[in-house]
Amino acid sequence: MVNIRRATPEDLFSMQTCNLLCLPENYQFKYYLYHLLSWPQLLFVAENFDKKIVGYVLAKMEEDAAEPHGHITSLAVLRHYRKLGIAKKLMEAAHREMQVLFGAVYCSLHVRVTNVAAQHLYMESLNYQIHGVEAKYYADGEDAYDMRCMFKERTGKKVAKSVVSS
Amino acid sequence: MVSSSLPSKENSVFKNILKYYETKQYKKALKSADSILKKFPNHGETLALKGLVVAALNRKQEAYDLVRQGLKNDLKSHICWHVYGLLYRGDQDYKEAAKAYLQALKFDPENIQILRDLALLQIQTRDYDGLLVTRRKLVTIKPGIKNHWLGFAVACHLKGEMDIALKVLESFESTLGKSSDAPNSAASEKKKEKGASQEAKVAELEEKYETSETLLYHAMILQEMGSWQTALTYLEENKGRIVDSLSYLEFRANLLVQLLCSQSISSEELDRLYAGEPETCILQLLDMNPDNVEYIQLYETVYRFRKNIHSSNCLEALNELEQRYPYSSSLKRLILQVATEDEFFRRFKSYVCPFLYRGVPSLMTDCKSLYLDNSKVDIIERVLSEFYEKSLNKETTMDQNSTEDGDIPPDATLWCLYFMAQHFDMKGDTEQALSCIRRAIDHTPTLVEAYSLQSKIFKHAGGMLQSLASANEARKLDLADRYLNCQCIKLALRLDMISLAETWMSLFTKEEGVKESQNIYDLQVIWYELECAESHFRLGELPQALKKWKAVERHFQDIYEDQFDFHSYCLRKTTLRAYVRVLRLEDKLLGQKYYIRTAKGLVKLFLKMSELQQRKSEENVTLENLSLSPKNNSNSDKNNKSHKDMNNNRTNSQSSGVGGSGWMEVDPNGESLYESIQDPLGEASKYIHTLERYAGEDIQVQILALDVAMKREKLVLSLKAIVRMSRLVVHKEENNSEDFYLFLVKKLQFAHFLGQHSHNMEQLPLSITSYVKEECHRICEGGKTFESLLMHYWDLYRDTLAFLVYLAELLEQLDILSKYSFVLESLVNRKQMTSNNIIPQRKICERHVLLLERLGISFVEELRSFYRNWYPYSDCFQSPQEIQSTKHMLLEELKK
Repeated sequence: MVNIRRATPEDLFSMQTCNLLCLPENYQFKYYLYHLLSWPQLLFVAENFDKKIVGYVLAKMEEDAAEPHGHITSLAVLRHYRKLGIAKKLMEAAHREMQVLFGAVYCSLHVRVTNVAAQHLYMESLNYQIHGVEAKYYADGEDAYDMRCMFKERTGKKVAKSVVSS
Repeated sequence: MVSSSLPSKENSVFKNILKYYETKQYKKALKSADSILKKFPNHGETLALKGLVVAALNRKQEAYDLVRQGLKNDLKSHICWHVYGLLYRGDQDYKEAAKAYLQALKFDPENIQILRDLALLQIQTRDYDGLLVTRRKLVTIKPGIKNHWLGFAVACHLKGEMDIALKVLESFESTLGKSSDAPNSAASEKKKEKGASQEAKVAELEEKYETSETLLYHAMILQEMGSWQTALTYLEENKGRIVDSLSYLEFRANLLVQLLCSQSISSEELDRLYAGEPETCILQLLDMNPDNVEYIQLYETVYRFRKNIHSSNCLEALNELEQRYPYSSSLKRLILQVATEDEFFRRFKSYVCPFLYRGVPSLMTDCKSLYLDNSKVDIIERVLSEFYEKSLNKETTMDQNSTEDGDIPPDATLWCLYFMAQHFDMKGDTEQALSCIRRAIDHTPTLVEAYSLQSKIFKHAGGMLQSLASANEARKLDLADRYLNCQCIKLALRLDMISLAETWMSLFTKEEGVKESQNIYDLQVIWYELECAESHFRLGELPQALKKWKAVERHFQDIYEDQFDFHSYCLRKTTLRAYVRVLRLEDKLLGQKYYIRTAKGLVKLFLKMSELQQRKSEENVTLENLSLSPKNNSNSDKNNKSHKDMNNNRTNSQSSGVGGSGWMEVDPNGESLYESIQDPLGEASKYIHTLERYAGEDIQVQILALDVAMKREKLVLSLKAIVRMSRLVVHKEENNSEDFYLFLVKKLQFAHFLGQHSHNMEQLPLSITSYVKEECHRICEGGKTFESLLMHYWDLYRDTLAFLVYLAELLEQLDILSKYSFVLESLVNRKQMTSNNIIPQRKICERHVLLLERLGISFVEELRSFYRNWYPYSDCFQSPQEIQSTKHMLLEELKK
């Protein structure tokens, strides 16, 4: 029903539109370009049967970090495309690539403390844990949870296999 | 930078200017510059540097003056030219900047910094010839630097010198992977310095990644050259060094399929080399992601090729894959596209049931393309109603797979009603659709999706107000959801309720200290700005419309500009495949649908503007001197001129006085922007040019091209547009489409234009006269005049409402409606409306009503109630008083 694939430069427009329709945190086009041109393998989109982009994940590697780790900049799925597990699949795809290609030990993200639905997804389905609170992280003064998902230590072979069989 | 012509004391001061400039201590920099100029007032390089500092303080004009003065005194200084280039670069005038850099190089040909900067400018301006020269120089002068090699390879690639690109990459690759002893390897340096195992590991990974990306870029070039076999071998050889395993496999699969289908090598040879490999490789990909439609299509292609099947849809291939991937919903969905009759029934049922049970709201959107086939629509209806019956009776499930315990989930009825509503809506049966969704809402009054769907059904039936009311119900159920909020905003703007839209918009975009519209502009909320522009235009608020459309245009300029910083960044990051793709995307940026919509809007606006100007100048002429013939435009010329002067002043004062305030904060309603437009038709033609290039197949574009050309009295351009339009309409084949009637009327308009501008024909160059005459003859159905062409079409199509409405609109526009009163008579004729069995499209009926309303014909009331029988929900067919009161009620409601 929905196809999860790596994003192409053409997809960036749809990703930006999707972001502007769904989320209060928005970015200029250049920020999307920056992600795509830095870590082309960490951007994924969900495409419906008519090739319309209905969801995306925008992820990056934290540069110059002591421990290599990824970060989810933004994740959105159009409201009417819920209940298909798209968000989970997008996140898993990004997680996988950050481990395989960039050696990420964990992945971090920020989430509004009031956004219970998203926290549920991160904690229940994706194994994230609250690592701390960032006071007044959002423009409107709301706090953010700093969440982290620790990746299991995997040997090269296992990782390669998981890419193939997921 | 060392200045050549200063005594040593001044020379060290000179160096300080640079130091201060680089650390942004501009005041100190100025002081130093002035101290030198006191002694040597004509020292060119100091003048130039002072200019640079002044530019950083945003005194642009002064900066250019200083640098030019400096250049005058020292034409042979590379510093002066370099600074001159920097000024232009800062103003994003890359072409001029590149010229200055090239001058600088004349006097310092091996200056690495200048060469590097120049290369960036040349990519940005797509001067690939120049780029190649610059990049070759860089790699020759300093071959030890990775970026120089990659930059040269990219330059060759972009220029189309593929063989050289490959050679460059090959020599570069030979230095890769031997990092432990290569002195230039950043990774090994890091290893030595830190020794920490974690960091060493990261550096190692980084290096592996960069190598892998370089190799894949190499393969990309081979693929673009059509050297598929070489590319395959290359990938194979380097498999161990390519860490991006997904790219590797996708590459390989595509190459194998290309090689197979191209038949560039014999099938025996192919079998010997790659027996069964295309399939194996694609299956490997599908193992990872069985829902990927592109992989499935690759498999189909191979299957068809092997079995020599020519049809585009291949059920056998899909069936075969489905055996292997029984859980791939994409496969199931693709099969639905191809399957028919009983098989379709069976498959559709098993496809939708699990989604029905789970209540997946997008289910019917997913099935949309099945509705093109009427027999499938009937089957879908059967499946849905069966399911509905069962869910009501709470019987056992239809499908064992969907629920294990055999119970229908409690909200199955609700979802079934939801899907049935969507189904009837897609069939165009508004009545049934609404009935279903109302029952769904009665069943569960808190389901957001139900209200959203109700909103859509109303919208599809032309009931925008009720659509907005329903969307607002949905919004109220989840106020934190921006998506629902956006749906309301969009509808409000379609209804031209701009201030309401702004209120809703501010719920999610408010930022302290920034003007709302500026914030929206900063975030590039294109969809919203476009809807606003279109609404302002409908309301006749042209300056505001112009401002918003121009805002969108500026976003596209910014997006083009955005690539600049990545020209050197990507060489460092080695993300060359993505980089080259981005460059290509930027090359066709103006083909993006949002830009096309903007350009169309602007053309309409400029057409309207020129109409208004024309009317105004005609009024002036008649007022001031009745005896002057209308052709004498001297008066309006004068007007224009004085306007121009005024505007020049204005733009000047603006650019100097703006300071830090944003584009939307200055002239927020676009008045001065609007007044700065001197030649609206000239502006319109610029956009037509772009539209022709990127959307020439769009009939609306050709209509606009024709309108602009006729307004500009350009015979050949008008002809070109109408000829292209004729090709597009013929391509569509169904002659009864709206486009067909629109085309007829456009031909009439063209004939009218020809009648008035026959003298233009004489001014044409001889070489094309006969061709133009022939084509005009053809378009006018054998050289008919406007009059006879009108009667010709009238006899043929007088029973078709679409034709009548378009024709009347044209006559109204040409101001000759009264001359052909029979046209209008047929549109206020009861018999005429009921004589035909075919119900015209709602949009045509709405135009009919709007036309009569504009003309102030009282029959419109009767017409409204008549059309209400066919289209009971369209706002257009309600009485205006009723609409007003509904609007009022809605606004009151919203205030709560």
